[in-house]
Amino acid sequence: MFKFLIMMMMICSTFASNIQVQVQGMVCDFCASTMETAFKNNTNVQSVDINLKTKIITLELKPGKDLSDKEIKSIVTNQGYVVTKIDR
Amino acid sequence: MYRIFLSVVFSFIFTSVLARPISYTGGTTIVQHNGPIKNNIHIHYTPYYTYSIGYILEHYRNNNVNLNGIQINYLIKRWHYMHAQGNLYFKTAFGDAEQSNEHEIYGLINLAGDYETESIFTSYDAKLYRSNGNIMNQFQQIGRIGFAPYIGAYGDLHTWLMLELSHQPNYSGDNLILTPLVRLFKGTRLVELGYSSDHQLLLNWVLRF
Repeated sequence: MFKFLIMMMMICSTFASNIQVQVQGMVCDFCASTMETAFKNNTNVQSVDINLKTKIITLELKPGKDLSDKEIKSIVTNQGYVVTKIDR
Repeated sequence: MYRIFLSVVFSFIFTSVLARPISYTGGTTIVQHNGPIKNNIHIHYTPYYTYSIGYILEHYRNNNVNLNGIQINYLIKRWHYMHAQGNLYFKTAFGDAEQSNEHEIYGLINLAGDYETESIFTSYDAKLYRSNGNIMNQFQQIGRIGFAPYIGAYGDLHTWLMLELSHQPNYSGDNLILTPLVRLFKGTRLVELGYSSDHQLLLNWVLRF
């Protein structure tokens, strides 16, 4: 039973991975849609959720895919914004 | 009433105006403005977040001047804060100025800035037009202040109440025009509706894709 649970946890961890990115200066829907489009254009990203109040973008990655901090900062910087924090 | 109806129809046909002159990298924006003194439509593409290039058509109603030009918008500086953003832009355009079938070449130099939080908006925009004759030689400046009565989440309908003051010393009508307006904003669509001190309807649209 214990082995089964461990296996299930490992399987789940390969299916979905969330990253939270805090972006400075994102004050309106235009800014948010800019970031949403930029992240959705990345082939590793499954979905994007944006909280304008906290300035946090939650990225759900595709199974087995990853996005490095460097790549995240590059995506944000190329749209004219600044990353303040990345949580995994 | 007929003029108001035409303005509304004109706006909806061409869809959109106003807001930030540069979109996201790879984005296209259609902006349509129907203000107290002119109608214009501006379509631009943003190759990178620091600049956009596009086509602008302006029609001045009082003297029947039409401007057809290429416009380039450049982001000089963006200031980031956790709950605020400021931008300084340089914009320039050149093209054909037409009045009563007479044609001249015109140029535009435009400096614009804005600062906004989730609940406060301010902007200033100064334009200097010159043509190689008498058709288009004028200065215009527009300032805005506004506030949001509530703060919505991403995707909600955002509402702003604004006051626009425009000054055009060379204009044959009122030099100073005050326009209270309402801005409604949802996702990549924005609409503004106002009524000016010289009794003209203001109707602006912006669409990004």
